[in-house]
Amino acid sequence: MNKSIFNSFYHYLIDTYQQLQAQGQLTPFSWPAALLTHKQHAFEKFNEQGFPSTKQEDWKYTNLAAPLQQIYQFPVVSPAYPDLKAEVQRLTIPHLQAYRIVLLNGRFEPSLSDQLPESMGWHTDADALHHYYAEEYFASLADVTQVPLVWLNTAFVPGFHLLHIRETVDRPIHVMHLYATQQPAFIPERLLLVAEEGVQVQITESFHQLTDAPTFINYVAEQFLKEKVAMDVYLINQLHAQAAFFHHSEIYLHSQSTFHHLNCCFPEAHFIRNNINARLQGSQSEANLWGIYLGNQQQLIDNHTIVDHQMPSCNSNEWYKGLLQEKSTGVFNGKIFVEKGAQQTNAFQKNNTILLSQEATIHAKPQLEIFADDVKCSHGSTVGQMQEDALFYLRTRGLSERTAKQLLLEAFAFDIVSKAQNQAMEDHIMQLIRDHLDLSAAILPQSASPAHVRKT
Amino acid sequence: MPTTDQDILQQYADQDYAFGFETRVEMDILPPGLNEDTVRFISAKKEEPEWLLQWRLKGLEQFRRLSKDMPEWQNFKLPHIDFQAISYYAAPKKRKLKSLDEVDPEILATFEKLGIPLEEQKMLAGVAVDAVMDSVSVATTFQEKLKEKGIIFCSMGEAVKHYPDLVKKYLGTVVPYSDNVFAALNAAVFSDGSFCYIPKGVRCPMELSTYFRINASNTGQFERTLIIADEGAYVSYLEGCTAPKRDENQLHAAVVELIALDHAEIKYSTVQNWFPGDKNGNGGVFNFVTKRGICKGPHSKISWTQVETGSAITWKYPSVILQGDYSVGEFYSVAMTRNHQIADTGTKMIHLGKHTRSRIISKGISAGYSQNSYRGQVRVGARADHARNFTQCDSLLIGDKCGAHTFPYIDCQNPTAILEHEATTSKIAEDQIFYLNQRGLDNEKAVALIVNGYAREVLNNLPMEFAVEAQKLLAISLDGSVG
Amino acid sequence: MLLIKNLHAQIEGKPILKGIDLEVRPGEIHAIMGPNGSGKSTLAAVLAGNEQYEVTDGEVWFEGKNLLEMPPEIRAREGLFMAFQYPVEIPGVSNINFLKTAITEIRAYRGLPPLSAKEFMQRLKEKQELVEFNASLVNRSLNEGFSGGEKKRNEILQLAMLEPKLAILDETDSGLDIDAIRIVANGVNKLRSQHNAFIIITHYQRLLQYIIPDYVHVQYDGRIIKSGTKELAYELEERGYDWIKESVQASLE
Repeated sequence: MNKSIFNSFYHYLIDTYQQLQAQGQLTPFSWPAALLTHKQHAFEKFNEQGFPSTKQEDWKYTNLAAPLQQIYQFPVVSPAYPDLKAEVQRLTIPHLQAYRIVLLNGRFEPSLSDQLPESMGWHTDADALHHYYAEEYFASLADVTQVPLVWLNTAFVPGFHLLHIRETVDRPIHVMHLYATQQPAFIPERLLLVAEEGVQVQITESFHQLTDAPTFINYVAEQFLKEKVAMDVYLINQLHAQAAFFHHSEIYLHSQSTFHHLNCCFPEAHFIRNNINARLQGSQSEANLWGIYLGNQQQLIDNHTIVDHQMPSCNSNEWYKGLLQEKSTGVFNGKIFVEKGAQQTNAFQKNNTILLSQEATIHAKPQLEIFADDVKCSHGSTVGQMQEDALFYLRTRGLSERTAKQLLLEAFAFDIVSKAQNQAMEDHIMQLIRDHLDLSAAILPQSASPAHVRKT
Repeated sequence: MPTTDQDILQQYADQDYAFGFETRVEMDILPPGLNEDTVRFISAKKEEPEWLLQWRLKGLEQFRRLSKDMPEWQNFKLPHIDFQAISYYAAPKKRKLKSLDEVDPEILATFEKLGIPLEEQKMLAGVAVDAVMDSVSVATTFQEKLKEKGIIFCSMGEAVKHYPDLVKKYLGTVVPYSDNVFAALNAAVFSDGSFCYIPKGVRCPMELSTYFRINASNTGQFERTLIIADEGAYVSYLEGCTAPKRDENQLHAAVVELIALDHAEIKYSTVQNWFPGDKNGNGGVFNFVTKRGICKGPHSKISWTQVETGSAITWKYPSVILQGDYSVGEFYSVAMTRNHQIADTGTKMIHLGKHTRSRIISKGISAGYSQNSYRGQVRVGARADHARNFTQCDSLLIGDKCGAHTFPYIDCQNPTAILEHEATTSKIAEDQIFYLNQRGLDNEKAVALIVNGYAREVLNNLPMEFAVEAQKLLAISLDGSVG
Repeated sequence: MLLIKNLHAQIEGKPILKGIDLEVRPGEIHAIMGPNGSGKSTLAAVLAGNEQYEVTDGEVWFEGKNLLEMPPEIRAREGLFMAFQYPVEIPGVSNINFLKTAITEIRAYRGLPPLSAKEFMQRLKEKQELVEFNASLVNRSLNEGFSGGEKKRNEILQLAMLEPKLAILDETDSGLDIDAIRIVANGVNKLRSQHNAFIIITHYQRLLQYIIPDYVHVQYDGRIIKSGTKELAYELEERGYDWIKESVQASLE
C-alpha cells in the first residue's frame, strides 16, 4: 500500500528508538509504567503506519515526503546557545505584561522564565511525569485520534510539561518556544494543560528559531477545560524557512466552558501543519477557532481543524482567513461534526482566502457532518482578490495604490485579528501582518495603471 | 390525525415503491461471470467492429487492475460486490426492429405502466424516447422526424453500426476506460445506451429522452450514453429510470459523456428512481454512475439537473470540464434519501479556460436512517483567468437518526478567480408547519410544500413535464419519513 | 480650472461618451442633466480615473495638467473629488483611519506635514457640524451599515475634509428625501468659494433648487446637446427631456 511513507528518515527513527531503548536512554526521566505503556504502544503504531502519504484524505494536499527528505537527528546532538537573554527580551510581546515561560528545544529554561504565581503550576520532567494528572490525562486525548505524527510524538518525547491552572491567573501567560541547533534536529515537544473549574486564563504560545539548521518540530498539546473555564489561546508561528512544523492540539471543553483560539501563521517556515481539534464534551460550552495565515516564498501552510459537537446546546464559531503571496500554498480543512443527540447546536464556519500572486494556490475543504436534526449549521468559503471598486474608491480619495492595498488587506485581516481578547495581542498580530505583507508585489484583479488613452 | 412532527414523519415512512413490478418476457441472458469471453460475446452479439472490441478488452484489463483496490474515499463502506455473480448481458428475446409494432407487447405495457408513452400518437408532448430494458434499447421514437434536421438519436448499438466514425471519434474521450473502476467495467461490458448527435447550428426541436429499466434478476445494467452537440447546437436530454423490487442488490454502472463544441449547449436532466431497497435496507440498486461533460469550445454550456430519490446507494458526480473560454457549467441537484438509503453525490467543475463560470446548487434531504452526502470539487487551473464559481449546498434533516454531510473541495491556482461557497443545514421548523396548518394544510401537505419549496430552485430547471413528475416523486418519497 | 475637449470613452468596446466639451472656471457651479443612459455618470467616472472605461479620444486638462495621464489618487491629490452615486462599503476599514490616511497623503503631496491627532479631530468635528453629519464615525467601518442618506452625507463630509478644488457630485440627490437633499445642499453651499468649483450631475431639478448653478448642460447620447443658465433646469423640469431629444434629432435630419 502506498498510503504511507516509509522513507529513510522513518527508518532512522525506528533504528534510533530501538537503540536508545536498548541503551536505556529513551526515557531520561523515570516514566511511570502506565505512561510507558502509551509510549510503547505509540511506537508500535508509528512503526506499523509510518508517515501518512497524500493518498490519505487528511494529507491529500500536504506532501510530507518533501519536508521529511532529510534526516533530522534525535536527540538534539549539538544545541546552540546564542545570547538567549537578549533573544527573550527581543521576542517579548510589547505591553502584554505576561508571565514568560521559556522553552529551548522543548526543554524548560527556568533562568530565562519569570517567577510564576501560586495560581498556576508549571511542572516539567520527572515532576510532570509523576503528577497526579499525568496518568489520568496523558495521551488520553491526542493519541486516540490515530494520527501517526501524534504517535511519533508520544513515542519519542522525553517528557512533557504540565501547565496546571488552579485559579484565575492575573496576567497572561506567554510560552516562548525557542529552537536553536547546529545540526538538523527532530524536536518532539509536549504540553498537558488542565484548567480547573471556573478559572480564566490567557495563554500565548509563540515559536521562534534562533539558528538556521533544518528543524522538524513536532508539538502536541492536550488541553482540558473543566466546567465554566474561560480560556484564550494565541498561537504565533514565526519560524524560519528551515523549519518544518507539525502541531496537534486536542482541546476538551466541559460544560459552560468558553474557548477562544487564535491561530496565526506567518512567514517563513517552509512547512506548517496544524491540527486543532476542539471537542465540546459538556453542554452549553462554546468553542471559537479563529485563524489568520500569511504565506510567502514556497511556504505550505496547512490548517486542519475539527469542531466536534458531542453534547446538546453548544455553540461554535470558526473563521479562517488567508493571504497567500509568492509561491505559497494554503490548505484549509475545517470539519464540523454534530453527533447524534447534540441537539440545539449552533455551528458556524467561514473561510476566506485572497491570492496575491499568480503562483499562489489554495485548497479549501470546509466540511459538515451532521447527525442531529435540530441544529443550525453553516459554512461559507470564498476565494478571491481585493475588491476593485473599493480600491478605486480609496484612490479617488488620494490614497496611493500601495496605501489603499494596505488598508484593504489589513481590513481583511482585521476581522480575525480583532477577535483577540487582549489589545496588546491584537496590536502585536497586526504589526506582524504589516511586517510580512509585500504590497508592491500584491497583484490586483486587473492591472492598476491609469485609464489608458488611445489616440485614434 | 398525527399531532406531532414525529408522528407525521412516522406516518410517511412505510410507503411502498410504486414501480416494483416485474415484466415477464423471454430474455436472452448470459450466465453470470466476467472474463474476456464475456466481453467477446457481447461485442460479437452486437456485431461490433474490431477496434471497439479491443477498446472493451482494454477496459476489462483496467477493471481487473482497479478492482483490486476498490475506492475508499466515499462516505460509506463500499459493499462487497461479487462481479462474477452478475450476468452482463440480458436482452428481451424478440429484438425490435422496424417499428413499435414489433416490440413485445409486454414491454410496451411495462413502459406504459411506468408512464412512458412510447406510441407515437401519444407523443404530442414532443418528447422523443429511447427506452432501454435491461441492457438493450427496445424502442426509439421519432427517429424519422429528427433525421430531417440531421439529428441522430438512436441506441448506441445502432450508432456503432451506422455512424462508426462519430462513435470512434468521441467514445471514451470524456470518460476514458481507465477513469475509475466502474467506468472501466462499463467500457468492458456496456451493452447499449443512447447516442445523440446534433449537427452544427441545429436546435433540437423536442426533448430527447431515455428511459432505463432493469428487469431481469441478477443482471447489471451498463448502458453508455454519448451526446455530442456540434457548433452552435442545442439539445435538452431527459433520463429516467426504475427497476423491479428484488431482495438482492442490482448493479447499475452507467457512463454518460457529453461533448459541447463552440457555442453549443447541452442540458441533461435526470430523474432517478431506481428501487431503493425496502425499509429495512434490503435489496435496491447500487447506482455507480460516471457522468461527465466537456465544454470543448468557447461559449459552450453544459447543465446537469438531477432529482435523485431512488437506489440503495448512489455514487454519482456529474461533472463539467470547462475547457473553452467563456464556457459555463451548471449542476442542480436534489437528492432525497430515506430508510437506509445512501447517497454520495455532487459534482466537479474543472475550470481550464478563461472567463469560465460555474454554478452549483445542491439540495440534500435526509430522512429515516439514511446518509446523504454532497461531495464536490471546484478546481481553477493556473491559466483559467477570471473564473467564477458559486456553490450553494443545503441539507435538510428530517428526524434525528439520519445524517447530512458536506465535502466540498475548493482548489484554486489563479488569483483572478472568484469562488464562493455556501452551505447550510437545517430542519423543517415546527412554526413553519404550524403556520401552514393554520392556513388549512394538513401536515403531509405542509411538509411536501416546504420540501418542494426547498427544492424549487432545482426543480425549476427541469423541463415542465419532468418537473411535475419530480415533484410527485419527492412527495411520494417523503411518505413516511417526515419528522 | 477644468477643460474637456472632444472627450470620447467606451466600456467593453461600447462607446458611451461621444465628444464632450466643457470648461469649468473657479467659483462656478455647473449642473449636468440628462435622461438615464446619456452617459452622465460615465463622464464622472472617466474624470475620476475609473479604469473600466477606456478613453478613445479627446483631452482633459485640470489646472493646466493632463488629467488623463494621472492615476486616480494623483487626480485626488491635485484637487479633484468625486462624490460617488453608490459609495462603496469597505468592511474593516474604519472611517477615521481612512480619512486620516487620505488627508495625510494629500497633504504630503502638497508638501504639508500631517495633521496632529488633535488637529485632525478638531477639523473633523468642525466639518461634521458644517455638513450636519453627526453620526459617530468612531468604530464604524467605511460606509458599512450606513443608510443611503448617511452614505451620501459621508461623501459630503469627505468633500469638506479633503477641500478639493473641483468636486463632482454624481447623482448625490438620488435616493434622498427632501430633508436629506436640503442638508446636502447646505453643505455644498457652505463649502463653495471663489477658489473652488462644482459639477453637479443629476437627473432631476430638485437639488438645483437648493444649489443654484451658474450653468446647466443637457447631456444626451454621450454629448452635451444644450447649455444654458438655471432657467434651462426649470424648463426641463416642466417639459421633460423629450423636446430636446426631438430637437436634436430634427437638427440631425
